[in-house]
Amino acid sequence: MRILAVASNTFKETIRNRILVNILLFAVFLILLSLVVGEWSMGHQVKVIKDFGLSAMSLFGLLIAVFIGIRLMVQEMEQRTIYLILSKPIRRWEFVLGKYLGLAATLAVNVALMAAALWAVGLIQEGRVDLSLIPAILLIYLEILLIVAFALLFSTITSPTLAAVFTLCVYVIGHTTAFIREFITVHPDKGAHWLLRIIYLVMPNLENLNLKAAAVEHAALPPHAAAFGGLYGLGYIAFVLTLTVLIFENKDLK
Amino acid sequence: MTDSVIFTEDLTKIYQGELGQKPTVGVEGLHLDVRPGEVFAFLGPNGAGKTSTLKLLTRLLMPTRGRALIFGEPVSDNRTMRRVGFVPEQPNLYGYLTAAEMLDFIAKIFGLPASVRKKRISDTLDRVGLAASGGLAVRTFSRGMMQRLGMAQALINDPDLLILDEPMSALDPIGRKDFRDLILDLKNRGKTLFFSSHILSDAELVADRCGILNRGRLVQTGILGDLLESQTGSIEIAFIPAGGRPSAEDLARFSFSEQGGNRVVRVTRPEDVTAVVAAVQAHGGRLVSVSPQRKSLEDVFMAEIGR
Amino acid sequence: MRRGTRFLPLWILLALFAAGVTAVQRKLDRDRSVHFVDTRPVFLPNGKLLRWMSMGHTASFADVLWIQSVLYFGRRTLEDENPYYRYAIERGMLARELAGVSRPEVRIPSNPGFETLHTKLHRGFVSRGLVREIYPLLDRVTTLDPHFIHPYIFGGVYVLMDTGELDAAESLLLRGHRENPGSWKLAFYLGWYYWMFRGDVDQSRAYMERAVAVPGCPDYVFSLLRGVTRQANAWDLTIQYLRGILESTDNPEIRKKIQKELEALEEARK
Repeated sequence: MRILAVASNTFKETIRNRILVNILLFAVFLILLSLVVGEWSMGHQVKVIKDFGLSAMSLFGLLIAVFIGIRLMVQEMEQRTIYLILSKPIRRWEFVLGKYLGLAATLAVNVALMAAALWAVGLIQEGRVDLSLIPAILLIYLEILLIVAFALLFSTITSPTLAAVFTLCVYVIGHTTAFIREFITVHPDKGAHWLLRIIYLVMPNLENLNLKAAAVEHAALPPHAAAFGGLYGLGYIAFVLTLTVLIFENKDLK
Repeated sequence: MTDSVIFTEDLTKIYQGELGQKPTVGVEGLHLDVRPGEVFAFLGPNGAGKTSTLKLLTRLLMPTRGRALIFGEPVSDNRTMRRVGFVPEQPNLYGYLTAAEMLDFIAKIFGLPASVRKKRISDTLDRVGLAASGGLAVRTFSRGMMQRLGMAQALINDPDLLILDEPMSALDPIGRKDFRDLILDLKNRGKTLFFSSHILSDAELVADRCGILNRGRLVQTGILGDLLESQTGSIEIAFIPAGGRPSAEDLARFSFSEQGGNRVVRVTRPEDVTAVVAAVQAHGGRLVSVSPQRKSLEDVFMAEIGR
Repeated sequence: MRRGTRFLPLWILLALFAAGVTAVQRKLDRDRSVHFVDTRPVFLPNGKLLRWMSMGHTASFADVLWIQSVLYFGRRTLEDENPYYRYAIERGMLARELAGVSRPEVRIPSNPGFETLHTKLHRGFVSRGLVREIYPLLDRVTTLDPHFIHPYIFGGVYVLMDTGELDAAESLLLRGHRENPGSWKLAFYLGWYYWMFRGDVDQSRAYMERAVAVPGCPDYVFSLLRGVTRQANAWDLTIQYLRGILESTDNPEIRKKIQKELEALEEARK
């Protein structure tokens, strides 16, 4: 109930955000642009549109996650609204979770709109709605949610600017860990490998949530790759949120 | 202690500085005991630790040591806060909501059912004088309206204890008057009020008891009347001398001052009053006023913090 | 002053700046068009680095490079219909370009019946040797997006017919087949490649067998396999192969090219 109240309030807050509208418009514009670019691809418009569409979803989702995700807590503290809310009979974890879920709802609307734009363009080009993209889109959504969780975590412990830098670092590292694993496999046991192994296991592997290319080409995947990818994403989100709550519970709101 | 509304024991907050900074004291060894139905003014200069204390009571800060109880329950307990209303200093509310939406949000946090919320919101808006502004976006509010809305959100759960941080600093004279009436109204309904202020004249008008805080330590508590009467006051006599002539010999032993065309004499003994009045009348002067001078809270305050 | 006229100087400035920027842009475009024919990929990080740089957007990166490959190929195809080519000829820019090209050595298999076709193809290779740099590009595209089938076929069949880069085409097709064992097309094109350019009937048959083992493989591949196994007439088989390729694609460019080859072959047979 309380979580829901905070969530619906955050939803109202973020859905009215101008940044969001701008980013969304730009994303839709890019998806439309892929129509034109696709023309040059020698008969692969549909593939190009889908690839670009999914990339746009993921990238603009990332932008929203960083810009709005970090503002989420920072704004509460800068505007001192948080003093008012947290003096009410609401637990801090409820507040954090409510905020998170509110933004998650906004992002869901956002991803849904971009998907609708992508499908509409696909319908024009292909004459059908390619529903096989759904797992990839769901995983893009989870990736965005994971990035938001990190943004929330960093914004509770450091300044907004640093938090944005750290969050982007997570994105870069998240798409690098797969290469670390490759390195470990190809060059077996050398000096600092234990360190690499730890980095590999601790850092999020965002490639687990990346089915973009595979979905467009209907490529064969390991069984339940999407399901396990989703499970991995949810688990990691739960981990980061718990860490955020842990830090936030003991934070002095000076 | 069992029937205290607010009870603190050795409540201490020491801020660990950033790397390489010395720790600073927010508030230290605070013992407070606020009784039911009291209006308690928590006074002190800026930086004395008033806000720190209020944030400890509303669990925005974690105490370094000591404990704080409200209605006999630790403040860390979530349920304790159901009976409390809190208005932070210069409250800020979500600008993208309307006043009514904002109150609805707070009411939801208190778990009020939808059937109760609607009426409670309009009643509360009415009480703080915002009945006509319920549908306006909060971002369009003036500072005074914001303060009123801040008060409204604290009243939405019909609390038994109200904690207010500098409630009057953003208000205009009408707002202050309204606010004082509201406080007296709440007091009459048996609510307990605990507010911090550095504007002493306001506190003097509404408070039953006060505590004075300086540099994180409580230096004085007491019933307001006692504090003020412990110092004897003086009596001020103002008059217009006849024909603008200088004073007669009878009054030579008093010192005079000029105040807006009046001549003013300040005496301490009641028999001097009679003497002055008689002398003024004997010389055909016109008496303007005879007023006993209470020691003001400001005097007490200044004496306590030793400036 | 009224609002409109007060800002008039600013409006004029705005228009001036806009005109200035446009003028410079047009001047730059005029200068640049001279070098259009020379456009080639200057620097390309290797596929692995590109994969990392794409931050998971491998397919989109691949698409961009793919479009670049197509445009590059389009510009540098030496055809009279190609406006870039005509432009270069007019400016006399091709002599130096052609002199710098080391033409591939085409080893024509000593397979009876092929000579006529291959002599023709070889001429094609010699005159169209300007698009060799497309293979590094296609290598990046397929590393980024290994399940994107078309670039393998584009490089392994279509570009091959222009350049005679037998080794580059072979390795591209082999990699494609390794990454996509579930695609009958790549196995089929490999079969064709070994028959047509290497004269290796055993290899050809082996790949054709792999192709027909994939569900959904069309009938003409089965009959081709039968032809290869029976060591049928080389002419017939070659024509059958080319018809199969024609059948396997709906890309108009590729169809046009194959149709030309078919016509040449049938002409020579008479």
